[in-house]
Amino acid sequence: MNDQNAENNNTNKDMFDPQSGGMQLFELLGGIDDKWITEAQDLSDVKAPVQTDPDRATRPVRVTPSQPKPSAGTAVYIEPSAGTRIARSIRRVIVPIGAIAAAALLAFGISRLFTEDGRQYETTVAATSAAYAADTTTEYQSQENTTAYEETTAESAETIPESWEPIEYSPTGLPIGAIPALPSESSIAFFGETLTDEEANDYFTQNLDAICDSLRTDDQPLTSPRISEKGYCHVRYGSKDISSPVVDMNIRSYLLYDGDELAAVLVLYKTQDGILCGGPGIGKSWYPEFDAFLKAHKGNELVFVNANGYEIVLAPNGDCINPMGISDETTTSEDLLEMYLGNIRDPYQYFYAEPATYTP
Amino acid sequence: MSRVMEDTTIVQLFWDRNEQGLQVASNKYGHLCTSIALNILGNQEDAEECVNDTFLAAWNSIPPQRPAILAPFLGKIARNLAINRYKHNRADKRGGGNTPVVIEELSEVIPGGISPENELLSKEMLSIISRFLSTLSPDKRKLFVRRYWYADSVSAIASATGLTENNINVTLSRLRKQLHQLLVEGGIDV
Repeated sequence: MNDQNAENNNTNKDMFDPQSGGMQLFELLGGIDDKWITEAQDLSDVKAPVQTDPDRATRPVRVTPSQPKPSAGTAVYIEPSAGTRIARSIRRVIVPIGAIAAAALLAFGISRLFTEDGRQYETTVAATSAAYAADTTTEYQSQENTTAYEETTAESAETIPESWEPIEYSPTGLPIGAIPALPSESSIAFFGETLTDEEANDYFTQNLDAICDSLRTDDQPLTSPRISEKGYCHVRYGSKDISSPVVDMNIRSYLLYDGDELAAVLVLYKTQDGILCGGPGIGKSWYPEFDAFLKAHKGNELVFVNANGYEIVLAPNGDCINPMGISDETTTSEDLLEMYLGNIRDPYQYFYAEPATYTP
Repeated sequence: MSRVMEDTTIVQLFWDRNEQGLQVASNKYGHLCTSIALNILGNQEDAEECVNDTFLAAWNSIPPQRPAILAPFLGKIARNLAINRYKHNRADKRGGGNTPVVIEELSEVIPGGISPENELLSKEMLSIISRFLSTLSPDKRKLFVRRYWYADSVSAIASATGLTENNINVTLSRLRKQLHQLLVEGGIDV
């Protein structure tokens, strides 16, 4: 802080009108590409611009490996963790998740994120999830950087709280607790102001460049972008506050193709004020499998279900897929149906609602 | 195998309204947001509130948003909130962190300012700034972004890079002049 104060002392603060050019530019710089913000997080490899900088008077002083300097971005830490206090506030209005959270964490496809070794995945991720699901607030408060966080998380994974009950697995190796309870009523309710495909297409016409820019900054440049004219909602269930399956008519997903390949899923949301907002969804590494599923079911009317956060796509012939990639070579559609949708005799018909359908 | 929770997983927890996502995000990115807010505000209490608001805003905006990378997403929220608070604080003549001197330096680039209503001009300027940044070497670009996006002090940048403060100041000065020239050539009346 001393350097900050020293700099401030040399500055006449009263000359800084919020609408001054400097302030405007400072705000404007907030809109630069995410990739440059990310790039600048690591300053350790920055070298002095010697050849092009004749004014340079001295050689740069290098930090010795034995005494690494903290990066500029991690110089100060405030504890307790701010997010922890928010979490405590939110906890007052959100029912604690407990065991279901850990099982849920396992269920939505993180196997692809961690390892390809199925057995190792079960052991390590289950333990890590258990650590996350436990009340780890105190433990996390003392972390001072990501590295320390990694180390502590690793320790937590090996020290499961005694009160934690082990997750039970079905014969398919998937967590039993991931199945959300079916709603007490089977009739489907429709919430929200309808977002029409026409409105969405207008939005995409105006914002396609921005969407492509966003993907480009995520190292996913598009050469021939095309967005599906028709979108789809989801039939969701599993939330504690709803007694029947629900379709949120103000949230629709659209498929962004690059040429013939699925490049992203765009989620569009219509606010109560009628304003549209949204952007690319996550999961590009999973799209080839989802893309293959869509191509295999060309001409079929697919139903999109959100089972307490786990997306599952149902085909009329009984096939299904989790676009987030939970399935693997040994997981059949029947396994997925059992895991997500329990004992529903005909899930396609059970969850069928025209707004939540899409025909590739 | 990574033991740090992936951003995609954290985002999914947000979508699931699972508060664990908030805790993990806070632990993973709280320092980043805090340093940005503190750089701009120079006041620990204000910065702490700003970071609180950042994660609350993220909680409220995911869903419907699904940011692929959380660092810039949260950083931008923190930066915007800090700037808003800075403006508020300026009315009370207090605080400021590195912001006053950063603004003073940036005033060299557009000394006259632009009309707040001229949104098209702002977009054009941002486009020119993006082109300007894309032409820089990674090292220079990092210095520019750390100073004018993260609002780092020159001494903090010097500590992190091993460069001298004089070296950094000279480099930044030249970059400001280059950007000013590009804006002039781009037809921006600065």
